[in-house]
Amino acid sequence: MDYIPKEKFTVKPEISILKETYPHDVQLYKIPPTGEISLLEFQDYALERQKVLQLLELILTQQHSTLEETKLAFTNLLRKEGYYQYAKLLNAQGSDSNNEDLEARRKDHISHYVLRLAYSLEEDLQNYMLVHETEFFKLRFASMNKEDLSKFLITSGIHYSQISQEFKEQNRENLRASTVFTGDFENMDFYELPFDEVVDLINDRKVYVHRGIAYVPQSEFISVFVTHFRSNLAVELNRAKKFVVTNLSDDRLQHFIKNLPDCFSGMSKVVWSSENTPISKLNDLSKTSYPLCMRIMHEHLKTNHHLKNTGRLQYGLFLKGIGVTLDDSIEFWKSEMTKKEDINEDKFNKQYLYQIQYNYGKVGRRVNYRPPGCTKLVVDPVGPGEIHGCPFKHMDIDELTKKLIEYKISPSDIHEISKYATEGRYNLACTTYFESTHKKYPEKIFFHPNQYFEQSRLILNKNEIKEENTIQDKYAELSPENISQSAKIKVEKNINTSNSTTPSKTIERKVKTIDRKMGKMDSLNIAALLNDDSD
Amino acid sequence: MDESSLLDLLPLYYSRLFPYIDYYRWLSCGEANTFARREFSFTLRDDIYIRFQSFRKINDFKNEIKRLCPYKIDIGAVYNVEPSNKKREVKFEPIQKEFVIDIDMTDYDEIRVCCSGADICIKCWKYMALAVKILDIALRNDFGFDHILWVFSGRRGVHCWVCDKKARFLTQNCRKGIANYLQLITGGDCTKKKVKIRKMHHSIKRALSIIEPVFIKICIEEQNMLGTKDNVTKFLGIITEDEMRNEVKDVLNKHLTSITKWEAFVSFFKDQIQSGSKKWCKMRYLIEEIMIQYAYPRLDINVTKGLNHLLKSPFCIHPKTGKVCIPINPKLVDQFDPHNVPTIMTLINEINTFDTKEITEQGESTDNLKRIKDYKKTSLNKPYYIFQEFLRSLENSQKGEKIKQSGMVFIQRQLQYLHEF
Ligand SMILES: [Zn+2]
Repeated sequence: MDYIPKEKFTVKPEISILKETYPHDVQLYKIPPTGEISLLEFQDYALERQKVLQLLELILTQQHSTLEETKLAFTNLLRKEGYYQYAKLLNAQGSDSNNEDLEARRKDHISHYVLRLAYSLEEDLQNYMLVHETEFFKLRFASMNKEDLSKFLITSGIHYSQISQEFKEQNRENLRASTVFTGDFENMDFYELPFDEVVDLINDRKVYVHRGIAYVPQSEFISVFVTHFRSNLAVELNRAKKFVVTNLSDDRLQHFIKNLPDCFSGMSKVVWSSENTPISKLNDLSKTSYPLCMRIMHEHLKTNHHLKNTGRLQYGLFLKGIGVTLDDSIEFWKSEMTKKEDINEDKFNKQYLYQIQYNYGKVGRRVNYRPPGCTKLVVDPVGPGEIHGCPFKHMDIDELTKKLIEYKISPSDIHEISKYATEGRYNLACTTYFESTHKKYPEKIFFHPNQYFEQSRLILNKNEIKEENTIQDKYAELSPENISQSAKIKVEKNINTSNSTTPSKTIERKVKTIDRKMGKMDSLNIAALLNDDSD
Repeated sequence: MDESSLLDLLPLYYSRLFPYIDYYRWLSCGEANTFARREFSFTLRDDIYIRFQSFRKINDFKNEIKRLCPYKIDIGAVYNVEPSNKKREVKFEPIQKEFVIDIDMTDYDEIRVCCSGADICIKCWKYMALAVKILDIALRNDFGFDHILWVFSGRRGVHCWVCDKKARFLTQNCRKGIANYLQLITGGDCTKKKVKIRKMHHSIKRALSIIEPVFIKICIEEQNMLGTKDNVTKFLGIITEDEMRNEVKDVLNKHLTSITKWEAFVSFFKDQIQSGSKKWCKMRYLIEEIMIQYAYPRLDINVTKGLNHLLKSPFCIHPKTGKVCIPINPKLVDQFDPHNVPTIMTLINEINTFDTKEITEQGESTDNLKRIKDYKKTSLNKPYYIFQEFLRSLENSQKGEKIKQSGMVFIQRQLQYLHEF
């Protein structure tokens, strides 16, 4: 067999090749990027995309009622934060391509692949990426007009058969009743698809399904591709993990990839408390520093001596996050739950102990589980007999009001909180609750119960600010601000060699650290890194 | 049932009555390799719990069950490697599992008045019968599944095992999608209105057509839905607008019994809709929503969603009630009475009675006795028949598929069976 050398690009591939590789604003990311890229650029892209996903997470907690509204809110936020390229990609104006578009698409492509590597290593990170990349894709897909869509369908090579007019007549009533559509039913084309290719439509009961076949109007093709995108990414994340574990030999890259998910203090990042919280303080803390969700669970546990499974998981992990040790946690749960007459210590040890140890990564899969963030609390279902989740979403307004009165929140604040809750702006409701109980706004926006707690302690416990700073320092080294600053500095230096714009000393020091750590290797082969055929 | 008699009887049950061969046929899905990679977990005496057990041969399984006499057997997924041989360094992940549904009567506590907690009676069991009927037809008609096994959970609920090949290989996300499709009641203790219908999807319409004919009997009469002050308060909570709630309150106050209150409410609501009242027209599916909230199946969807979630095995003995977890024929679910489910005690008595009678009639010649399978002497005969019928059709579909793939594989499988037994 002839040996065909792999094509290699220099740092910036030629426009003609870019045009061929990236014909469209929307990508399925089926083929890994090729070419070479500087390490700094590699990191910069990854950090930027990570930030974009964080912003999306924020948008998702706001529960906009339509896809259009979500997209608009996200676009505005991206622009406000200065991510113009992503704002443009989000609104996918389709397949017109100027140089800038091509550059943005290449960045989109590469950064997606880098995140795959970094987010493949732990299950909850995989889920995070799966959820947010899929949402991002969905919003972008929805931006395509009919013409773009047909172009996209051709390039994706996916074909489905259309139902006959006769079939449509025979099943008229069911199709009409079960399909969510806008416009004229008579002119609507339906396609036959296996139900597992339109999971989203099944999930929301938006389609007529009979004997495993879903009858999907063309307007709902978005769901087809979303499902496809998600399942493909799920498979690819596991491949990426295998690759990172077995083939990624470069230490600096290893270091970067493994630390990326932790390396910036994002709004929904878990803040692990730096010190132990004794369980004797929990009662007081629940009133002063717990977010409402955790306060309600704590109170429920104290009065009923029981929480259902998901509640135990959510509250248990929260406790771990605020610095309750494993031993204390066991003691806490045991002392509460054995107050119920049908649970003695023996039964507790057999039924509940395992889960607590599991949360702390001591038994079972031995994963250090992270406390879930607001998105998860908002989205996870709550069933009969359960009280976990986000109270602003899951409680009826009058129940919520009752609780807030009981907690002595002022009437005007209650009014505001319930207004936000009704509008689905749970984060604002939560922030108002924070402000009402602390008489002060939080310093940073939060999207995580443990961050709420941290912000609260920051205000209530000024003396310990020094320690908080040490936590921040852990992430400072690789925070996106620093990285992008360093990248900008480089550009500035290239343009202006007269040193008149020398950045401040602190920034300089940080740049040096980064340079020392990663800078020496100025370019690496992305193809070799990402296009792994070994498995 | 007290623990010491359970301890005495379990060895007998596991050596004479547990249907090992059919059980193996079921869980191997036509391939010995599938059975070997299947997770079992056992709960033993004193609540000792052991996970990740697996068995290469039917006899290994049989011997271990007889040795341990588990109080409870749970069935898990089929993994990429044998669970008992899993090693840290190799990735261990579930490959296939039946699509399962778990319905437990405790989730009905907020709507049933006849019993609470672990108790059940013939009145609240009707919720289970409704659940089986509604879900069975949805799984068959909407998703095209054919091989569905319904099992009594031993005390107060039912389990559903969908065993079609397509069901066994569903992804986690797809399981979640079907679970949410089937789940109409959402919200915890702090949500009073738990059903919101925006569109009359064909599956909801069909469920209503099953609920409607029995709604008044089951919910209004037997469960006294509007018969007490507490129940009325609960009911009024469903109407979230203060003004509208008060209107309904006034209507209900004019009547005394659960049934007259309901009738009054229905005609009041219909009048409002007919007269085109804007605020009421916004809730045009209110009656349907109420019926769903009070009678539609309440599933524990976490069990359905997880690929590696365990579910109690059929033919276990419930350690508290002593009842056998027997298969239920979904077509005859209305006739099923949980109180008539045989207990381990009755089964052992039945065998003994049969044997004694046979010996007195036939003399000491026990040839005939040995030829009759033990389960046929007991009231397990019928449930076993349901299980065998289910297996027969499952295996026919597997055969069809195998032949399509390759004649060779089919022959191999037959040889494998010969070897196993
Ligand atoms: Zn009852």
